[in-house]
Amino acid sequence: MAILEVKDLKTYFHTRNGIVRAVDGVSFSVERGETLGIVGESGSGKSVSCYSLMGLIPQPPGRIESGQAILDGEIDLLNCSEKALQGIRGKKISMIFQDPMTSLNPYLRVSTQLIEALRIHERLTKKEALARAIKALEEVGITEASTRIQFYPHEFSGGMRQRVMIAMAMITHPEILIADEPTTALDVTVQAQILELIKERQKANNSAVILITHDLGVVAGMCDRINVMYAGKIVESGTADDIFKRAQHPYTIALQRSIPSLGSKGSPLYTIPGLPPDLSKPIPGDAFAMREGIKSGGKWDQTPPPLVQVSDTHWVRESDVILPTLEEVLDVR
Amino acid sequence: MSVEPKLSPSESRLPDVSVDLDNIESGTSLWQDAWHRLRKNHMALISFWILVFMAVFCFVGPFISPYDHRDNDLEQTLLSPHLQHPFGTDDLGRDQLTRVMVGGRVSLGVGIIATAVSLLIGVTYGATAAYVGGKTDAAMMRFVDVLYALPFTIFVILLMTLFERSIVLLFVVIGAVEWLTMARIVRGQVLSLKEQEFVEAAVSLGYSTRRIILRHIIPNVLGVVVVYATLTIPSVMLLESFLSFLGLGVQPPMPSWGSLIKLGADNMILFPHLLLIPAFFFSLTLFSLNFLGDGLRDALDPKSSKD
Amino acid sequence: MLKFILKRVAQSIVALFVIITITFFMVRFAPGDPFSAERKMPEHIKQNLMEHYGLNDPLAVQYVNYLGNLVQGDLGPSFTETRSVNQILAASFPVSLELGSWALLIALGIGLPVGITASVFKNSMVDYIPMSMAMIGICLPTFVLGPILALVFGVWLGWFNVSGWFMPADRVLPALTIGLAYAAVIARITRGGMLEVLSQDFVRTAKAKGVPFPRIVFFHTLKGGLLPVISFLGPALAGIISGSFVVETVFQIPGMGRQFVQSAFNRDYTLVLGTVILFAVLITLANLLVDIIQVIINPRLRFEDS
Repeated sequence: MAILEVKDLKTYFHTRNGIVRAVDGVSFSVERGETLGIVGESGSGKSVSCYSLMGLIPQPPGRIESGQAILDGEIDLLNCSEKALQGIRGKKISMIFQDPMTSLNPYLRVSTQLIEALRIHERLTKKEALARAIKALEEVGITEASTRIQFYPHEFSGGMRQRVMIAMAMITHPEILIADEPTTALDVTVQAQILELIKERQKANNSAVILITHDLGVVAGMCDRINVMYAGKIVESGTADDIFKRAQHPYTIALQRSIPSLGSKGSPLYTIPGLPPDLSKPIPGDAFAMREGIKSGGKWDQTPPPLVQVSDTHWVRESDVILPTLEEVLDVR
Repeated sequence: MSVEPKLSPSESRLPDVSVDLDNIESGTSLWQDAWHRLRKNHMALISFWILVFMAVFCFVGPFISPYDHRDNDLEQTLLSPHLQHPFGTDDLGRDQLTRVMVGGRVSLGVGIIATAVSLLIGVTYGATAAYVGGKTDAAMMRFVDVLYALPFTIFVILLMTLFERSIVLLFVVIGAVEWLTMARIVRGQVLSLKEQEFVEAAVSLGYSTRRIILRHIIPNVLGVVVVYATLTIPSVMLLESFLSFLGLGVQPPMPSWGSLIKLGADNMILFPHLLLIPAFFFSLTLFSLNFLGDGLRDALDPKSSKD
Repeated sequence: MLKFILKRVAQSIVALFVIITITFFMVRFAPGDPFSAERKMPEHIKQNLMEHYGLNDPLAVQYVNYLGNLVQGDLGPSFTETRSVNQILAASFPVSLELGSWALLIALGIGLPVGITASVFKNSMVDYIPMSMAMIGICLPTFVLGPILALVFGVWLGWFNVSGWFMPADRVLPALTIGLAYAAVIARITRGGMLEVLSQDFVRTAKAKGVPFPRIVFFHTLKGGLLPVISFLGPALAGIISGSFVVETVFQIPGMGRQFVQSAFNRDYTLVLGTVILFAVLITLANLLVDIIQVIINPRLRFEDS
């Protein structure tokens, strides 16, 4: 049975410019120990869906309009008490964020922040918790952990801070780790190390990982399965093989075309024309077809296209978008 | 990464770099947005109209009044408000209504002029420091820091006590105190603007220095200057009234709200109207100025703490 | 950190020295002399007095003499009273100290809780109402609030005396006059500071760890949120001192503030200087203390000098 089962999640934001449908009917599941990647542009809803699971959406103006998120077959994260959620956060589901510079409390020592989750969730004594915290730091590759644990966050470099975040998240051996763009704010050289570290810690704890990113490259080496999101909906879902070798949705294909390849130096880059959609306006049909510079057959302009199963593992949302060729993209530019 | 979703296409673009790009997307510019926010701020709007009323009351009023603020009438001393003297009379029989009006003229006048003076000095000083940068900037701001640390009210009182009390000295002293804050703020704003990406973008697009200063730096500094000018006026008025209350400011028979309040305080046990009426006008004006300034600050700063 | 403290102490001493010098010369350059305020006195008597107090010596000499005495703790004789400046200040300083302490207590005791609550319950009634009242408090200067409080509670309701410093109850109105104004400012600053910290990313991290909200407010954010208040305490003390000038005048309190104003009127050089020095020392000490506390609370500041 899946460790997390999300059904028809809808999260809207009620702003003075209108209702922004950030997540508009998203369903997915996560198996124990597997890595699920959620890929999409800014505004696709990838982060908001996971924040909704954790109850981190500011309400107001946000509101979880509908949906279920069953954790371990027992509790519905979207319909339980705040107290219950507090017990789950940091214990069963942990989260790490994009910017390690700002995600750690600058006024508290690293030791305090590391042992906090242990003291709250496992009721350890300070001494016990400290010992575990030091060990956790060593596990993420920080040397001289027993001295450095007393440092303040600003005394660590960016990459090390992200390691501390990972240690902090994994210290309670959570069932799921949600990583929201964990490498986006880091140097390229450090990115690979952090991803490796996440993979390694995941195996050691047998946790599932939900990796949120806009970068297909990050997803390629890490994920067992991938959900591609656009305009608050999942447009394609499958194993890494499915997505990279047998992509069917035009958006997924366009994303892959846009990855600059190391070989073709000097050749023009493919870009997806137009801009992400304005989610405050209702979108009756295929959001990707509505994008400026994108042509389509018009079949799904007014009707929401359904998700269609292509194989055991592979699902695609119907779309009759015709992607522009490289020449057409260059012309517009 | 913040949780807020993208609201409109225009917000995902670079902030406006030139007029041409503005017109392509139908987003709202910074000024329109600010005006929008200000309009919604009821307190700020009410304050604005109160201030308009005060300006008319104080500057036009004395011309309409049948009395002069200096006319003594020893047969009509210390009268409570009634038809012929709607605000009553003081201990020399002078009409309080007229005196409150003229007092307002003085207080507001000092407020505006002294603010203008401190603005001139402060903006020039701050902008120069920020623009020149480097060691000169550091030295200039050091000077400001040292001055800031000195206990100013004490010096002000000393100066006003020891030397000839003239309105000129009053202006000099008040201006000397207030320009420091304005200099700091302007410098901070110019510095942060210098480093902002849209200025770098403009530079890389080849815009001339003059164009950058006129189109990008000044409008952004203007906002901050307007806000703090609006907030400096009440600060100046407080200082002037404080001095007048202690007998060190404007000299009789010239009234200011501060000296009127002092007179009222001296007589308040038997004649409370002498205290309460000027106090009311003074406080209402301060209140409105502060609210308007606050409203302007919230309107111009997208990251205001109210949201 | 020790280096930082020493540096600040040195800076403070220099600043003090500057203040003393400026005041000294300012007072001396002013027109008039300490004896012109009194009734007309025969010229030869005046000359004798000037000679006696050393006022005919060159200014530089007077200055050096003054400094010499100062270092030994002697503030000199008063020109308008028979007591020495030290004695006069010894009587009035405790009064002002008490007034200021009560005012500060009121300001922090009301301002901090109101500000914190307002920030936690942002945009609700608990935020809007106190903040509007705070705005009023900021706009009512001491010389307006003082007489009005005296009028309402002293004259009309008769609960308190309108002047004097004899009974414990006499402390109430004057302290409230100064304290309420600063309570308003502190409430606003606290609210702002807390809002700033509450919107930071690390609050989200704490929430994601399952930390309960009260702990987030008091353990994670309070330190950072209070930083602006702490740095405000320096100017606040200066403000309380200036507030005392007015309040002591209005309520006829025998404190340093009222004395300062009067001695400036009377051109009592030594008393003026003595008072200014004492004020300056107080303010400097307060600023020093505030700086040190800030460094203790905010670990990022500790490394700025290196």
